[in-house]
Amino acid sequence: MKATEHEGSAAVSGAGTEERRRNPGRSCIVDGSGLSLQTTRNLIATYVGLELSEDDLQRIHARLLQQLSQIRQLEALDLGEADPRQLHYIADRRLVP
Amino acid sequence: MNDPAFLPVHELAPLLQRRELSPLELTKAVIQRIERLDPRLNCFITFKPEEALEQARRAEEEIARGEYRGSFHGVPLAIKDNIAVAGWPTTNGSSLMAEHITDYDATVVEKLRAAGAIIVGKNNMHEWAMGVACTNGWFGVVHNPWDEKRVPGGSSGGSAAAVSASLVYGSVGTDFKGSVRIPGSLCGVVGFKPTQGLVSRFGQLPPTSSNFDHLGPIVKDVADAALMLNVIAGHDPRDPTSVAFPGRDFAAELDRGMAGLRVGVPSNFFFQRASEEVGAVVKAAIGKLAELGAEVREVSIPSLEHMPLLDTGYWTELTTFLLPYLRRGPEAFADRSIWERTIVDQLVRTVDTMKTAQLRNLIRAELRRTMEQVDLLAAPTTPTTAFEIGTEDRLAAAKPTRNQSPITVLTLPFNVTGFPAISVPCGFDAQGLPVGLMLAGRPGEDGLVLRAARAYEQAAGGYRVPPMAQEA
Repeated sequence: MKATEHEGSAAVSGAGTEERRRNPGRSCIVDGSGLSLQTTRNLIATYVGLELSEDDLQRIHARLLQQLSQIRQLEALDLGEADPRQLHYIADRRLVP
Repeated sequence: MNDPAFLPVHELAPLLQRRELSPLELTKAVIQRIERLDPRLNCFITFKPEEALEQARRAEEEIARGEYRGSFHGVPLAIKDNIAVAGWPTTNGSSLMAEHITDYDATVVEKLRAAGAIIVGKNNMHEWAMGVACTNGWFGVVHNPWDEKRVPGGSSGGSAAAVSASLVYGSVGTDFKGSVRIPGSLCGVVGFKPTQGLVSRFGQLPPTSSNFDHLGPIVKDVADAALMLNVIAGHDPRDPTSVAFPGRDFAAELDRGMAGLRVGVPSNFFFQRASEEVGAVVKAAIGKLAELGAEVREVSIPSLEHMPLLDTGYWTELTTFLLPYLRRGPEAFADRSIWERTIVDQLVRTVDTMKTAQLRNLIRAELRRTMEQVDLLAAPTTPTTAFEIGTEDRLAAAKPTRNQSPITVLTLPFNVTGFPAISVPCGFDAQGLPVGLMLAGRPGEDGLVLRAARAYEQAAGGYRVPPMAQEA
């Protein structure tokens, strides 16, 4: 694909988006359904230093699965990576285009 | 003279300037109204009547000496409780900050004091500004003046309820996902989120929501919003997100009307997410804009459909601040969902935050292109009117993404993009609950947004007093 085809609005709302949606294999995140409660418990203990109760673990686990699902969808989007000219990871606060 | 309690600032100010009304008597009346009505509404976390009276005496003396400072001189206001007022607690609606007392004012407070305003107290809010219900477990539930069984919206719910019930003449709120406009809409008052960077966030505590947060007026009408913006806008080197806009008078063009303005009505995202009833009220209001001379046309903004995916990186700044408190357990958070969200947020990767920033820029770019065709966008502020206290869990269960409660979904695009947006009352649903019309403009064109909202407001009738506030 030519770089110019990814300029501006072609990304996200363009056809490339649908293509990537149909190809979730692009995501680095594996299907969240494989994440066990015990893995969640270990992750939270390691990264946050919290030993969760069973009730809390269930709720946190459900939220984490939802978060992983969102990350997969985000990764599947065409954010214009094919054209590095359009790529900025800072917030654009310009008052004029 | 009409009861001064119900007047907007722009009608009150000339009376104070001409000394037909005394700041001291006005403040005494405000204190009496707060003491009488706030036990029902719970709008205040901090209320300082003695300090307010002292400020009022000073204002009275200054005006008597001919040292009138402008529209807010001698006018009682309040401030949301995540904005610093020197010597008073700034709690953020949390017990964790209940003893946090600053020896400095936030920039907006400094500016309002310099303009002669009287600060009577700090408004109740949703804990950590991370919710819309204001069912605050530490400082009590805030009630909507239009129906005390219902929420005021949030997170600046105490501010909007206080203004709606005419307990104060205005308040300053913060808007992270709609927290000025949503309670404005649900309480039938005006909430204005200016262009990002126009109003300093110095003294908003903690300032850890720089990417999406804004400070803005919650007032009785659009003219008051313009007057307050004139006071609080301006570059501030103490706020790294502050932008040096050219100075201007936001009230100067208020009365130029709608003629010649192009209003875009989004064909996707907004009305599809609103209830039929809210959509119908807002469409009628847009019809009024056309009657006033606006050219109304349909526009499409497809990238907004991806807005829910921004949630992944949205909270990271704020939850980073909360990290040290996590080990105190869920008991440290009255709204348990904040504790849970903060934990899960620790597992968001940097790459996810970067991708949400890129998505945000693409949405912003598309919105910019859309707004080359039109001067303003018009849409509902909220998908529904105020919901009943205690039903937020049921609503949360239906929410489309982990953090995005339905009521914030329509305001969020203008936090993401930083574009100015206002909510102006535009009617009522069948239950008598207020509906808000949201008008958004291009960045830096806050004056144009205010002008259009004022034109609508003048045609539609402006501020209405809730029945419970008339009883007093």
